[in-house]
Amino acid sequence: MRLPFLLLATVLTLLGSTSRANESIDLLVAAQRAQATRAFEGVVVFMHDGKFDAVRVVHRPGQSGFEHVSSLSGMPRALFRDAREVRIEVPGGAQRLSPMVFAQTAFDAGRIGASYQLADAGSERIAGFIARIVDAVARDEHRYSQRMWISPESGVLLGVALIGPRRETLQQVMFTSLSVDAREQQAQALAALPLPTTDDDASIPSLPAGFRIIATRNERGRRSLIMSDGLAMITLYLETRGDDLDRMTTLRRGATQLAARQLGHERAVVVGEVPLSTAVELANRAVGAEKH
Amino acid sequence: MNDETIREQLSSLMDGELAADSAKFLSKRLGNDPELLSTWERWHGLRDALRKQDTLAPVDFCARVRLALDEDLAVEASVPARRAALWRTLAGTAIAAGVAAMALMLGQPTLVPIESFDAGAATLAHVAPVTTTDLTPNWRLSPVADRQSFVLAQPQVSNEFDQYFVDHGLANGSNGASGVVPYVPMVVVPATSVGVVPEQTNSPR
Amino acid sequence: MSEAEADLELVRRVQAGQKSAFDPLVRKYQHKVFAIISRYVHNHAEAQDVAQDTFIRAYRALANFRGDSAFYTWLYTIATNTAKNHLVSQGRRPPGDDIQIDDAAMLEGGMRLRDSATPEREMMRQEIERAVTTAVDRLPEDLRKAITLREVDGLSYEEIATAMNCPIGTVRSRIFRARDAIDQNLRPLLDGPDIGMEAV
Repeated sequence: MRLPFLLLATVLTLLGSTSRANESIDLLVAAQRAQATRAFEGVVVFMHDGKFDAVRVVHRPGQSGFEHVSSLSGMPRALFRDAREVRIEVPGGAQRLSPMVFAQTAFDAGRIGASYQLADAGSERIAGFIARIVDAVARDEHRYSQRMWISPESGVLLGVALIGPRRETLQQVMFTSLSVDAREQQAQALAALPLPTTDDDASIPSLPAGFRIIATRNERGRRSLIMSDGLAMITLYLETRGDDLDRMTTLRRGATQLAARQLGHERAVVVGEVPLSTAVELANRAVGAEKH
Repeated sequence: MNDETIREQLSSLMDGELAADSAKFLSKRLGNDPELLSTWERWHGLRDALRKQDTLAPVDFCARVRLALDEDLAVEASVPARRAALWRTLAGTAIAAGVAAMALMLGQPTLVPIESFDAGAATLAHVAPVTTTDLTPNWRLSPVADRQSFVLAQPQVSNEFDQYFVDHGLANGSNGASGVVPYVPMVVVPATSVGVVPEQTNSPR
Repeated sequence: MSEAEADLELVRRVQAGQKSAFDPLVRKYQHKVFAIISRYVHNHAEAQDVAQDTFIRAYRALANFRGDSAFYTWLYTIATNTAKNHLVSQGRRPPGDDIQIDDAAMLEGGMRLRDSATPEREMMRQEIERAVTTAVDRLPEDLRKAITLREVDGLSYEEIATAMNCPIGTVRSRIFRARDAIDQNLRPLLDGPDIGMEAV
């Protein structure tokens, strides 16, 4: 039976759209894989708040892998992370922290589509590499859109831009020089940690649309709930404080928002690359939930 | 006819509201009067800005087209190599370090084996130095970029909340969807600013 | 003489041998052409090349332009064809759906991200937009109303005269004085050294 031409055209268009969306997902999956399997190093330019900063990045994957990220402009600062420790260094001192272990990755190909519309935005040359451009357009006001430049050859993420609701670039990180190891290492399986259960936990506030908790931490008298919508990450810190914070406090570093709210001695601090309203609403809800 | 009258006519021409005879005369003059042409171009730029249209063309684009046309008409030959030379000839100072750094394209276009990096010696004292020649720009900061820096970056460090940023950054960098990208802001001198608080809800949802 | 007719007048001058008459057309439509090209070609340096190509092709083809359509409609077709040919020559696939001429600055079917290539160019665009808006806000009420009705609402002089209850000559004068005032405010921003120049 012959399909009417219009119906056929519609089907083909939808298939084309679906095919292009699948290609975008494949690129995002490749980028996640490259993080776990490729060694690379280079220099990125970080655009934020009308300024540009240059940063050197060295990444080695695997169990013996590490990151070394050091500023090339402004005050010298460096971050070093491996399986045993995290070290943040400034001239004359260093802060040592424990590395984190996660039950689940923040990136979730199966859930991205609920919160973002993926689109293929063509190609560009970045740091000498051909990059495919993937747009993740936010479906609602609870998150930012993202544009990602990914090498189809190696999967390495060559650049990321966070885009606000008025299509303004909030921050952008882009490699300007880059070397990528031709050898691909074996990907390490994630440790099988139990996922945090939150259904019966009255202290957990209702999360922003599309977000799910992927890890929890308890340390230094502070509980951290780390959540993701498949792409963006938010951390909610819950703690009991002896001091006062008598009003909602908000801060911003680049595209990262912080909202802190305290009722009595219970404080909630939300940090994430999400719109300020998302952070503020979550902080308010978290403090209200803690009163039960 | 004085300058102001001419410019008022130009304004009407721009809106398609000039009488035919005057329009013909002014169109003839427009191609030969650089000052009038500049005004014409600026006013159209204003129009684009008022209508919120993208204004993407560089300031000297028209001059480049004119030169390219002259070159094209003078010698009928394949264009790409000469056009590249034309761009190089006309390129002047850049507008900001980030643009220049990106434009330099220092990376190698092919994958190469990466052998060693002494992680144990990865302290500030032993980080392999990247000399300033790697990032030597052929640029000067533009007045626009300077103004943006002053307007947008208002350093106001708050030590109390720094640790939350650090901890979140570490979580995002070690397990986020953007690989090592979240680590980058952590080594840049923070320019924390107090944000605008949206209207608060009185009760939890 | 309408805008389209004014364009045609310039085209006729070029066809008659006054090459310099092409300049005003380039200066008038350069940003629109860039916007169209940028939807296909995301790299800014490449977009400059393609936009330049567009105007060269238009210049070469002007001898055959009969004025059956508006000049901008004709130029738009050249721009999209030049952009698509460029993508094909680079081994890239042009997007499946053409961008409608009336929505050249917007995109169909839901939001997409702006295709401007560089953050600082986006910042510059925002800076200019902000400066223009501020300059308009500072205008006297009658000038502000006239220029807004003209540039934002697209009213003709006759329609503005009716809306503002004044003669057309007064409308003409107010719009000119508004443009002039905004221009004086913005000249340092737009004509400053090195703005828009990029290292190659």
